[in-house]
Amino acid sequence: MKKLVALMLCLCMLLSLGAAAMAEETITLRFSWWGGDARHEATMAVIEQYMELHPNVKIEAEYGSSDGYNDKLATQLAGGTAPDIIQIDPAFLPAYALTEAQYLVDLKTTAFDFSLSDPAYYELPMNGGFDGKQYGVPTGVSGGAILVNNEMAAKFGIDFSTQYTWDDVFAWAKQVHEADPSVYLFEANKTMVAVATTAWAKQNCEGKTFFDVDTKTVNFSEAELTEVFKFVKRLFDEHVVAPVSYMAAYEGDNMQNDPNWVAGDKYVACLAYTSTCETLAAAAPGNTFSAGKFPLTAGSDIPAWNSNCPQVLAINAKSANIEAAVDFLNYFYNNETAMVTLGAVRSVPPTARARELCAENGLISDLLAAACDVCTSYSGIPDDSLYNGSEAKQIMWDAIEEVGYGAATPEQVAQNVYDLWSDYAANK
Amino acid sequence: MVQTATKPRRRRYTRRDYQAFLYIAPWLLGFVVLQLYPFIMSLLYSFCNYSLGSSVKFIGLDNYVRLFTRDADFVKSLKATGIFTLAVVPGKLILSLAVAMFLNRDMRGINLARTVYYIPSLFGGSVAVAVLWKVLFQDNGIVNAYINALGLQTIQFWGDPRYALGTICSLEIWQFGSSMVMSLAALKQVPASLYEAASIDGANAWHRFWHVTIPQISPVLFFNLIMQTIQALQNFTSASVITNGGPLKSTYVMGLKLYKEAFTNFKMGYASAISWVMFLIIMAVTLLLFRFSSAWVSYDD
Repeated sequence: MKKLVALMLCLCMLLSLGAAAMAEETITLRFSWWGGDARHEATMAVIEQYMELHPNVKIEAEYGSSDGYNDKLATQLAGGTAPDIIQIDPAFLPAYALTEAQYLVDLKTTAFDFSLSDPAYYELPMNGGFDGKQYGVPTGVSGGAILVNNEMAAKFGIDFSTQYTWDDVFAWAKQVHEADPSVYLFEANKTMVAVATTAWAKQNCEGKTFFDVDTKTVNFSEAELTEVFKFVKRLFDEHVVAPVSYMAAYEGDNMQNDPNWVAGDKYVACLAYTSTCETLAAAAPGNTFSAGKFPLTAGSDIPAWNSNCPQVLAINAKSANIEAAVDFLNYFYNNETAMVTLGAVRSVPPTARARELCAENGLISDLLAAACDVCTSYSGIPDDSLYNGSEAKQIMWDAIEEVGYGAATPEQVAQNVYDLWSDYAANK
Repeated sequence: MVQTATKPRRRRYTRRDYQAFLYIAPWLLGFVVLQLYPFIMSLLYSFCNYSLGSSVKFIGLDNYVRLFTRDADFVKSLKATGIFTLAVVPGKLILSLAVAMFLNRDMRGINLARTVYYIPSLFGGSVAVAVLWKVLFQDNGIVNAYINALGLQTIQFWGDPRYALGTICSLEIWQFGSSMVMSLAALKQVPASLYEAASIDGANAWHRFWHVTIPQISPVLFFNLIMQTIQALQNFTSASVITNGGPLKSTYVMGLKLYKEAFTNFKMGYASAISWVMFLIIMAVTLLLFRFSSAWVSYDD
């Protein structure tokens, strides 16, 4: 009896195998991203929609938090086991796109439909465009943001909604700190101090970016860099931002965990990203928030601030199913159902059509929409691809830390940064 | 000799030998693929300029020369690792021995006490406990709440370069359980007759500890010393999770430097060189410890 059952089961298995082989060949795609729960749910829903429309395609989702995402991806790409469709942090994009190994597909050589996308935006180096090739497409519009605590701004009579200058910033910081020494004008960790410093540097040094990508050299002289780090020193010395030693515990995307921010009465505003605005606002429920303008340099007409994308989506050049991956990407970007499903889970969407749909369906908060409007209204010079690399940024962060702790003078820091950056650029 | 000459064997290995080979094959395979191959490749890469995604270029000793002559961070990380090891290893050994002595007695609930003291080690090297430590010692954390309650100023345990490394060391020292368990086992093996004999000869408690206990448990102390030293030199988790090497690179231990060069800067060749320097340092320290062990480690047999 047992034998008979076993025989029957074997037959069933063989039959089902045969049936599967006769059916249309199934294509399996792997798609990896990082994010929070809202992003996971929306992305999974779009994947489901696509698989319903394309029964022969199976998409395996590989998702989690941003912790360690990039380390894993780097080893996957090197080992040839990376997913077919990959979400990438723009800071690491040059490292993947511009290597001899050619990890990513140039989307311009594929059937990807760019008709809804704005070339002036997606062709920027940090959004995936390098030398006329397109190694990825931006998932949204984001950038820096001045998140204003309305109650605190009103209390000190500070107006971030009309254009102001760095001189105003220093004057306000003085006013605020004199009124209450425990209050600072901005909450900003060293990552955000670097963002502000980069904007100041462009405004004050003829709109130059830190690196000359063509010659692989540093664009700033040591004297110019000294001025840059004198500015950083002023930010700390004149209490524009909280001490670097205090903010050390809230590096990266952790500023919302600062109890002084949560308390709502220690900072007038926060130097943030559009993508972190809502989290920060939610962390201080006792206050209301608005998006302020960015500071400019008096007498300089260089806006320097600009928008960029929070992530790009790219296709692995080693994928066995590039065509199918491109087709999915097309759906993800250009299909209206997908647009509505995704909403603003990857910041404000990159295409005008998706933004319209989000607005119609109330998918973008007023705060996020306002913050994105501000950052797209400054048509500044984007950072060069060398400065966008993680190593160059790390050198900048270390330098800001040294200035903030008073461990070195701006002159010493400038010289050190110049040497390290020159060495970094020459080896790229 | 004579036997083999008169009766040459047809086969070198018997069927039983082959069975044995089969049994150890999984391990051998694992060793070759997961240990030997990476070991050799990392040595080769350490002489190469190998960034992720680009071709491997042989550059001789350049990576090593750069490490010791031009990389200021490496010197900082050597210093941080050195201080960390010098603080953690003796701290852990002394604390574990002290607690083991305390627990080496018969009283009610002693097994519960032993378990409680061992618990921190179960979390050893885990991210969760590092995060817990971070929260405990942050500016608005519970430790500072006590300090403030005593009327003292807040101490920036993580933000002040003078304290950050020390606070991380305290986390590692706190996880003394595994050493403690081994010391305790060793203490239990010391024959009571030795203590009795020493007492008859007029030895006080200190003499008994120094001349009986320590020599008797010295092999275990030595084992703990070696293992803890190797572990401390390779430290990564706490520094990575809590301070990420900061502030001012004061907790930028070698393990973290190696990781950042490999996975943030993608310099695999350079990272390989660092790992080999680390390996050589660990090797040298271990050999030195063995060299001087004969002076204080006594084996009965």
